[in-house]
Amino acid sequence: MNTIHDMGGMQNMGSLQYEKNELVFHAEWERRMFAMALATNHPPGMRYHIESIPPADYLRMSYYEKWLTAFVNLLLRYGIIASAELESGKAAPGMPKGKPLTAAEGLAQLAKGYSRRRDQIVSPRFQIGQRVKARNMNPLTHTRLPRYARGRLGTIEQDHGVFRFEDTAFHQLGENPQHLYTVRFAARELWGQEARGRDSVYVDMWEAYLEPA
Amino acid sequence: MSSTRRDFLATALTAAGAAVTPDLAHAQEAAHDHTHDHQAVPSDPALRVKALESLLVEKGLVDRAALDAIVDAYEHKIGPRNGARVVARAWADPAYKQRLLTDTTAAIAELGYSGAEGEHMQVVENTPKVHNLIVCTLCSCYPWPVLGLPPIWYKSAPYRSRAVIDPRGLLQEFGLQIPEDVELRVWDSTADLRYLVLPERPAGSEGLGEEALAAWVSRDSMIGTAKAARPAEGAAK
Repeated sequence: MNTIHDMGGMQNMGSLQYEKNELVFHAEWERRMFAMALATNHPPGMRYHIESIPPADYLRMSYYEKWLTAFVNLLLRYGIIASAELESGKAAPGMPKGKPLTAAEGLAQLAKGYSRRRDQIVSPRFQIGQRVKARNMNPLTHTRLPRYARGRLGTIEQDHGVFRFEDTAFHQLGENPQHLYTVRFAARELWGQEARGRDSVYVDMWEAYLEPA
Repeated sequence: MSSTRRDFLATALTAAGAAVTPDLAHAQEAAHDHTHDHQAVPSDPALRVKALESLLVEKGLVDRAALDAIVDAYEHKIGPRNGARVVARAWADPAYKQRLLTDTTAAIAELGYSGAEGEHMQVVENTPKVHNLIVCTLCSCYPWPVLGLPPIWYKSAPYRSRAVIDPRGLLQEFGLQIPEDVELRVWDSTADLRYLVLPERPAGSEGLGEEALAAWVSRDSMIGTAKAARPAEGAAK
């Protein structure tokens, strides 16, 4: 979806606000919000719900306010909670009670991680060193193909193997496991002749984002 | 939340931001500024999070002890000191550095760091001719096991928007001037790779052991917004 989260290359976003000796969390509710998102079993797609926040709200909200909004919407979307429950603050009567991750299970899960690399053998369409072009596509759904790279020519730098494709996985449209590459784009290809000749931007891209140059 | 309530909050927040600065980015950050803006919407997210937590606990979806444990891990155990130890080891041990460059995830796991948001790691090495900078233009991807959770500026619009189009200008805001003849490589972590910069070992650090070296490695030097440098007198980090 072409919206505000895809901000690479935008201008006039203000100067950097650097906080010295910044704390990990800035309020108790941020701690709880962060941990709840990690400790609750839910389908993937939190980021899609962050991106679905209207642009003006997205820019205004703090990071964990965006998490709160997205997390609630994700839980509602999959019926993990009901809006009546959210309004009342009480579980609907008669609903089966879940079995939450214990502290030990939660820590073990975080230590293990959530690798989305898949074992399927899929032959790669592109080779390292090959010139490629990022597709010009504008889905209304989740994508990790930033606008600034669309239609641009780059070079395959690395092939990381086969990974779940988030564009479809986030929308329950299947994992579509495919090769994930790092593609190098010359700064001049992205930003024009004013950019430094030797500088470049490296973007991780699923095969579906690429076509032969 | 009703739309009326939401509109009220939006208005209050906008007003709070505007009172401090007309600049949108600052308004976004201002929500974090304890001295000014928390009064504008004193506890709304706090109340909503509390209510949500109670609901999820009641429904058996969340265990409060698990929340406590996760918060404790990211507040006290998982942070940039981990990454600093990785860098110090690479500086001190050429064989380790080689493993770190060729199989980053496994080499980092040798020091006991692994897991969420670090499942597939890649180290990028700074040299006298190459400087690397890490960003996530789309969101906030960041290598948690070695750097902990990202600072606000890393997740903010000014950083994310500018890192790819004007990295040299952005780095000047950090006080870092990249010479003309140095190649700048920006890594936009859009997918499943998480990056860590291996900064150059600074002059003056010769002969130091790993533990002493780790003190020379700041979080920012592993993002690429600073160079590794001699620690300030009495600095905790």
